Amino acid sequence: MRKLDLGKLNQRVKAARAETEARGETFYQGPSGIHLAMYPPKERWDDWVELDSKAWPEKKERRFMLVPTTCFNCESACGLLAYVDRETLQVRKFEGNPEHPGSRGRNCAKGPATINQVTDPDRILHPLKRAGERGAGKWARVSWDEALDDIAGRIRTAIVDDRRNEIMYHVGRPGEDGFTERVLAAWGVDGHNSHTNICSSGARAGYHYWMGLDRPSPDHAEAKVILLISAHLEAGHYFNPHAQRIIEGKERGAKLIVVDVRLSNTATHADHWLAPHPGTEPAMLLAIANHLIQNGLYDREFVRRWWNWQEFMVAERPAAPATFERFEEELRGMYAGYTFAMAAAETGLDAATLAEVARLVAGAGTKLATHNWRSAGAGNLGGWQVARCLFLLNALTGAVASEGGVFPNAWNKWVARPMYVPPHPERWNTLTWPEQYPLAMNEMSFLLPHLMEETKQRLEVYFTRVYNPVWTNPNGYAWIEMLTDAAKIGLHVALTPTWSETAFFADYVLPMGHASERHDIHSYETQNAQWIGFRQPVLRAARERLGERITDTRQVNPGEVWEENEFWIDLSWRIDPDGSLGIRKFFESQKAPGTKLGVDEYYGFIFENSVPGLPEKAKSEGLTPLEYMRQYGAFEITRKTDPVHEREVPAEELDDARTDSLGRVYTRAPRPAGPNVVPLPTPAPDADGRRLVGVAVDGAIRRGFPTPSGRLEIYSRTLVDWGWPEYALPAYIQSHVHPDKLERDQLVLISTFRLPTQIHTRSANAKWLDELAHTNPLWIHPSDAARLGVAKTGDLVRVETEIGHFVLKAWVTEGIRPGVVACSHHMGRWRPEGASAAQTGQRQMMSTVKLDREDRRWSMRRIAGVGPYASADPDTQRIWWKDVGVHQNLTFPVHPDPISGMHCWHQAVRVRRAEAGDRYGDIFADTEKAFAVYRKWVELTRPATTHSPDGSRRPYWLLRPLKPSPNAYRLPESGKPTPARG
Amino acid sequence: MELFRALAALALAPGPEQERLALLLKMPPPPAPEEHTELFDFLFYPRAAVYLGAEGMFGGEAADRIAGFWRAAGLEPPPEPDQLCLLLVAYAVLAEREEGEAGARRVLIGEARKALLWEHLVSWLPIYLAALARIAGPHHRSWARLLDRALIAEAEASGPPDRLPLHLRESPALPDPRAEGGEAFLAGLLAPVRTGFILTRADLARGAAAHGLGLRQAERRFALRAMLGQDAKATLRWLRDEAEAWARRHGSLPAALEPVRGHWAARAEATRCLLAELAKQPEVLLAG
Repeated sequence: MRKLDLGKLNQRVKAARAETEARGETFYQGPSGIHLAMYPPKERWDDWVELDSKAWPEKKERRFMLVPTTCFNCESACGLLAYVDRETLQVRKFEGNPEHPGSRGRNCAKGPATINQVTDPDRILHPLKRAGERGAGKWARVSWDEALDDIAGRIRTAIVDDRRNEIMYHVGRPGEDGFTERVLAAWGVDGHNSHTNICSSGARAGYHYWMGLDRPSPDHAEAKVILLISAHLEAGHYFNPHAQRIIEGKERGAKLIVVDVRLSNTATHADHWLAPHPGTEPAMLLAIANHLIQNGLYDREFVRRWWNWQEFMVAERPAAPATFERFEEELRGMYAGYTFAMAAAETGLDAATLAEVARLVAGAGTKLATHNWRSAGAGNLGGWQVARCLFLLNALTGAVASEGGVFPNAWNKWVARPMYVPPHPERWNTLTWPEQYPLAMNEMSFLLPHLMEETKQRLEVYFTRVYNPVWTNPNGYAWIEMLTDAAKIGLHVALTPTWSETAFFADYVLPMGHASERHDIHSYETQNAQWIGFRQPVLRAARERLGERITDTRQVNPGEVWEENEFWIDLSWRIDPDGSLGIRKFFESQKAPGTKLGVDEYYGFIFENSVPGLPEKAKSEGLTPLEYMRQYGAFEITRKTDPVHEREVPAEELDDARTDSLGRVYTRAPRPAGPNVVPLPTPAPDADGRRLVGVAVDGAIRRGFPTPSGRLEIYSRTLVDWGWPEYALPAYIQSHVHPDKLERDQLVLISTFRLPTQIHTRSANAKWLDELAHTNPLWIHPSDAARLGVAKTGDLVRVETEIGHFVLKAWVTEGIRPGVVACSHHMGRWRPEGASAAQTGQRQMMSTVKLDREDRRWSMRRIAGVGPYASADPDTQRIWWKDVGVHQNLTFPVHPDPISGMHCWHQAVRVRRAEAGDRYGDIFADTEKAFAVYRKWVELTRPATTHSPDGSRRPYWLLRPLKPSPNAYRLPESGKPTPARG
Repeated sequence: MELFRALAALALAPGPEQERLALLLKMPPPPAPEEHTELFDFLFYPRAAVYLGAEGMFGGEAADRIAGFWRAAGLEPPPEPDQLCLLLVAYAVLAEREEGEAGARRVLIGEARKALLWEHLVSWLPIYLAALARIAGPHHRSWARLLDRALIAEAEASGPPDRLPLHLRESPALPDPRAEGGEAFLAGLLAPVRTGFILTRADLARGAAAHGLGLRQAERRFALRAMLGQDAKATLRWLRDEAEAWARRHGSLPAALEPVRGHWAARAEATRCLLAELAKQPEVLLAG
């Protein structure tokens, strides 16, 4: 045999692979292990052959069409591939979509379990209307037309009567980028109400005050040190896309520091696991920051160029020279008190460990990836300072928009401009944005029953959409009181794929699709890139591939399940059938004026006009942009974003530009209408109305950050102006569960942690997930258990909160800090006795309970757990678990943070052995007491009516979903709350 | 290292991808699917544990060792960690990672790559490929030779290992039926790491034909037992000759494959000696 030149052969294959992949094709197409992964190559997605596992040992081939969509469980929007059986046109399974830039073909347990949700025998398949009293569990099937006409009629009347503030849409998991906000804007309604203030407002506030954007985008994969105040490897936000990149970072040698009171799965992967006393995290972070500051270990040039230190000096040290050196001196003085010894005393951590962690952080340079989302930021009074103090470390090390650092989310996100962008409403809704909370990051959604009771306002039409406030929010009994009070709620419409504790109290329950049954687009900051994902009804796409024409998603969905896009378009047409209200025009076809807009035209427009690179990519494959997205489900627009703040502002944007004494550059040039409409804050214009366009840095005009100063704000003028000067800089606020505030016999209850295989209400009938996790015992340290007389795991304990108690089983474990107990919020689903099981339950995960009320004292007693039952799915006969946990949130009063508006979830509780007569699952709460607690927390606020510096309700520059016109920002002259009438 | 990935893909069932790769590498075109099935599913199972495990079967300690290697190298072990294609791809991945690193990390990954090469590839593949090339058609013969040369080139470039691969160090010899019984001996004959050579169904057919013996249509152990039952002496002599031929073949492998070459040659020679003794007293075997 002739001598072979192996190097040459190697180069030949390499070049051929590069050439093939440059064309967007797959070089190694086999479902082998050539990529050490098992994804069918996209070239074969139209006709993929697999052996039918159920036919084993017979080798029976099944042919599939693989149709992409995105998961609708958590917010990561990971890519899924639906395996549609070509013979039966049924979805057989879901696996990962390797073409998705965020998830890259990988999923957590929840993604494949979508098939359980789709085939759930207890799901809602038809529109239902209440047949008896609210909550009585009696329902009658109605047609979509009947439901839509009724709802549209009420909305139209409210609009015509100028009662627009009586229309509210309350959303849990949005799962889309702004579609429904634009629907509400088209109606002229300030009725958007998100769940965010029970979720992430604390962290958002901390980030917002620093960089003008309220979400971080850490570049974990390239980091040298990863610092998480969360449980991101198992259950955090963007869990799957982040977890895989955290592991990549670790593979490259990154050190992982995890701050968590529990030994979570994330903590088990950490190089350093720190379990401070809950709420003391900012003290720990400031001690690390102080170490960097006192030892000159920060990126001096970055701080000089990008912090608003000059504004601080002018405003707070007017007598001192406004030099950077003098600012550094001030900085050293301001944080000198945060020594490791001080932090050790506050947190209960070892000072030497803190010093070691600080050394690691100092060594990370610009490759420090940090993240806080819920966790401590969502648990504590002043929790918003957790993210603010955490980001201080990035701001000190220059790890901002750097490889391995943290990006502002908007720079790693793409919200494609749709064909219509209706103006935001002219109204202000005080039920969601009350004057007591002018700085709240999001709607004060969890206060709704309290605000309605106080202000005697009413809602004519209240939508709950993929949201279950009765079960999710604190003081859930008060939500039942509100929802069953016809004087408060005229019509409650639950848009939901599954039954929930809130849907029980609805007037209409309207079935909405799961991940494979609806259209949405989204883009999330899962990594240092910009991408869009496309959720689609997969059977619609499959049948269209076979040549059918589908005009309404109900034609392919099970039963009468609909999708929301078509629902909202149809409803809007019924509200304004003749266009006289100015609503219909936002829902009309441009191709065929006077007819209803269809989803193909809607998304076709977006993909053709607002996603750079997509039309060209699609064309190279002989597809239209919409066909491309239906084929592959996702598109990456950019990879590795540059530091946007360093970009020079182009000359054409500097029309009649002026630079003020702080280096802010204002222009008369209008903001260019780009295709990316990601929400950005709106810093105030100068006195002549010029907009802020950038900042002067060392002689160049750069884009900067979207803050009032154009720089990273170590110093927040906003907080000073709105009555909180003591928090102008990152600071430590003692939590409401600080040890000094606890009674001797109190422990701290952590209720904010997720279970990695569940997702709030929607996963409750996902049988695979239920089998994995179905209960929520109380984590308790052996030392606490011994002191309290809890002998062993499984013993019943009673947990007493400010307004009631609940009874559950103990789990004695060393995996939690002494003095702290923890209970996951994912469990404890229930349904009231007497309702038809088939109609009102997720029978795999809901206990049947007896609900009693005496005045405002509510009690719940479990009558039965779950068990096997007959259904269309034989697996329901195999249910072996009985215990589905305890619904602890009913016993929590609201704790609204006076600044961020975040509900501070941590509870000071007493834990004791269950008393005689206590039974597992007993839940008692007094909503009268809960209202008293609410009023106590409201006293902490500094309302707009007394603290607004300019007569407005809220700083105009802050982000706000559905940002009303500036006029609506004006407080009423009287200083009294705005009445409900809009 | 793309060549290793391409060679892995070429060991899969033939399709358009294999046709393209064969063209690229100027190899004869892939055969019909049934030839591939015969070769890889019935004769030469592409699983390291079959050739390195004391049982000569799937799984076992050899497969566990390889799974352990995946973990130690920071790679997720697949369900079949010792599958030939996966091992080749893992080698390509490590080589590429090594290329992309510098300093101590590069050295560490380089060590892992070398360990994979010697412990789990060179420890068995030259013997496997030689056996396969003897009966394969033109496409797979060409594939086997190309892979063999690529492995030798890598072995030369990496230098010899500090010591014999663990699979080989730990490998027991062929059981002596006089001490351990006929069944253990029979099973041992089908474990290459014990005998020093590979005995496929095709080899048994050839041996049976050469000595006028009937070949039972059954699993190899049953067929071999039947051959011994028919004519123990002739069968043992035939096996002896096989061992001798394999010892010679091993001895002629390139020096770059030491110490693996020496081990396999010595093992085949030891087997030859035992079989020669047994052939002189076949009744011992029958008694066992």
